[in-house]
Amino acid sequence: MKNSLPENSGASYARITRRRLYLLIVMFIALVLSVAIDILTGPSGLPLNTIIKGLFAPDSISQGEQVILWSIRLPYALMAIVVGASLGLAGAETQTALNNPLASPYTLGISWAATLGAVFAIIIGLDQFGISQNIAVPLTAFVFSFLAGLAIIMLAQIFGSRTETIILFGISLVFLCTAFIYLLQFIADADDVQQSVFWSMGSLARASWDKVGIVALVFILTAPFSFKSAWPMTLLRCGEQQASSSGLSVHRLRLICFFRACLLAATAVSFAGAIGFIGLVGPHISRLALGEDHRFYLPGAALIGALLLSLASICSKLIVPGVILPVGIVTALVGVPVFVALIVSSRKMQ
Amino acid sequence: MIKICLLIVFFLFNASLSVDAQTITDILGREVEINDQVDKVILGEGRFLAAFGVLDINTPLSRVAGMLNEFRKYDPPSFQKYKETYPEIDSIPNFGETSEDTVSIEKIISLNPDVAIFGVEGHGPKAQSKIIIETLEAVGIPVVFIDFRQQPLKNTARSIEIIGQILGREKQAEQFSIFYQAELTKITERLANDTSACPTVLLEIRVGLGEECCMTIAKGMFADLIEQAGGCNIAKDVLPGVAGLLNLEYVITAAPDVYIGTAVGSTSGPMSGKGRIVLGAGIDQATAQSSLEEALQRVGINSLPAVQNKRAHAIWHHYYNSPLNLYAFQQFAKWFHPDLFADVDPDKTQTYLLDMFEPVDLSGVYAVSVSQ
Repeated sequence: MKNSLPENSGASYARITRRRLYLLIVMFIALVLSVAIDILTGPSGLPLNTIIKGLFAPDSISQGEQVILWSIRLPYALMAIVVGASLGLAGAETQTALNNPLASPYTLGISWAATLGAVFAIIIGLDQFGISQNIAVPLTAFVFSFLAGLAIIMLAQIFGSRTETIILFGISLVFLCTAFIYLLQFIADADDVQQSVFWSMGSLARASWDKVGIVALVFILTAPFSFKSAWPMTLLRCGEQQASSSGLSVHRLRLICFFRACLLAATAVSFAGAIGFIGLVGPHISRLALGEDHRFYLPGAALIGALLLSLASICSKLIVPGVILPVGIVTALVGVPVFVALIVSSRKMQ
Repeated sequence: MIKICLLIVFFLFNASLSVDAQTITDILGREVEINDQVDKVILGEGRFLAAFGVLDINTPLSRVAGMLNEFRKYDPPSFQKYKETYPEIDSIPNFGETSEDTVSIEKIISLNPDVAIFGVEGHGPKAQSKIIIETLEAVGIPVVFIDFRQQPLKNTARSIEIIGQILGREKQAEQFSIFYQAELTKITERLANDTSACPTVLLEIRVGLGEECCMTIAKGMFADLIEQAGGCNIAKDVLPGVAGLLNLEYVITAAPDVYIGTAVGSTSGPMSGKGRIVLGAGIDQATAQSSLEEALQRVGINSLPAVQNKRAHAIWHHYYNSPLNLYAFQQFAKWFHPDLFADVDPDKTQTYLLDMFEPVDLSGVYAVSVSQ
């Protein structure tokens, strides 16, 4: 009897782990399916065999079809994955680091700072100084949002990394950035305002292979470090005191997590625009499905983020055929019902 | 004593009547009473100044008491040309920047204009700006609406007539109106009897402003010009609203016969961004040509039949809201139906309009096509 308990709990732990692994695999398969559908949908109705032929032998299809497949559908679909995954992971790291379910790069001002950077570049017209707008806008967006993240980290360094402090810094950053955005838009002409509003709604129509490459590269370089700290992060979720008493430097861990989140989010939003919903909700869905074990929770958040944005990308093409709706609008339309359904069903189970 | 008092009252009464009023029916069909002699007007958009030139007013600024600042910001090259001829344009008070939200009603009232000329829609106060209109009317400033953009071909000549009536330039307005209608009819009559297929048209507005292709218009403004010049706008049945972003994939599939980009570029200053098409006052053919050809090199655009078949063109953006839109209209007709309108010479129309009507030297290249 006495011996059977650890055996039992070991078996149940193995069972839970296996179940979570299966769930991750299911998420991955769902993502692959979603990306496939994303590549298959579009206003031109390219037949399946043309797409398959075009994927493996691009020269065998017409030039127009090549452009549609290789310059439009593939970059859009892949951009959705890398941006979604980056935002999902960034959100997961922020929520753990700050031990707060409302924390995300969006609510902490990182995305707003990116928007401020982009609006700045558009309205001041950096392109008149010879920097192409294609480079100026994402570059300033990145610099602004990364600096904003660093500012929060520095303030936390100086005044202590209590989660409330960081969150309050972040929220004041949101208000500061929006004030500057509105101020810039107020003095700008309507064309620039329209363009900056359009930018801030988030769009995949700006996707290109090099942008996909850069976001993917940052994700690939950052994610392993994040997955490597899965154990300490899980420990942190068990409670700050417990984590500290286990010899973990909570302060250091918190700031490193937040730093990674800033890097991921800043890169993603500087190319795709401020897409707010993914970083907040991706982690929650992952937690509901996979629990607190960060070995599953972190990759889960990235997968869910990618899946949500990929689904949004499909919808943004289907809602008004032939026209592109900013994906940022669609994300919430698609994601909120899913999210609410999950919350309700998990409450019922409890 | 009583007699004297009565006499004074009589004179005062008479004096108040002696400022004769006239009734103007504006473009919305509103009947507005204004003074016969109008010395101070305010313009809902600074770009309406072009209409003053049309009315052969040599000192167009002398009667402008205030305007929106959008002219300086949107069309710096033309503004600069105005400034060279009329340096005082810099000191015309602005009652707002580039949108209705920035309009200061208090400022307008302090300018004490005889009449306010607003567009039915656009950047300044518009037909929907209820509070602004009601407040101005309450303090006795009549508001008259004109329109160069919602239904440009229908309303341009009439709008000029309205401004002519306000400023006491009925004769010049009529002269313009007759010319405009005649040139317009030249196109529409021939099209009415034409049975050839209408070429599909991709309109890309403000090329180079954003990264994405293709921002376009489906109703009013250039869409109106395209439709009535005998073109089929590929955005027409796709966009739910007035403006929107077409999916490049849809554009490729629609395979438009003709490409028209609108030019918001300039050779210097804030509008000189890369990738923009450069047209307008003071621009030469070579600059315009190379800017168009650079814009057409974008992936997806470069393989469109319109570009491959050398039927790609660009037009100066501000024709979307200008009394000089006739030139754009004739260009469009010629681009869509080159054989039908072989004898139509838009450049002649443009030269006539600019030489006859505009007091400022606005000469430059306003439309360009890819080299054959």
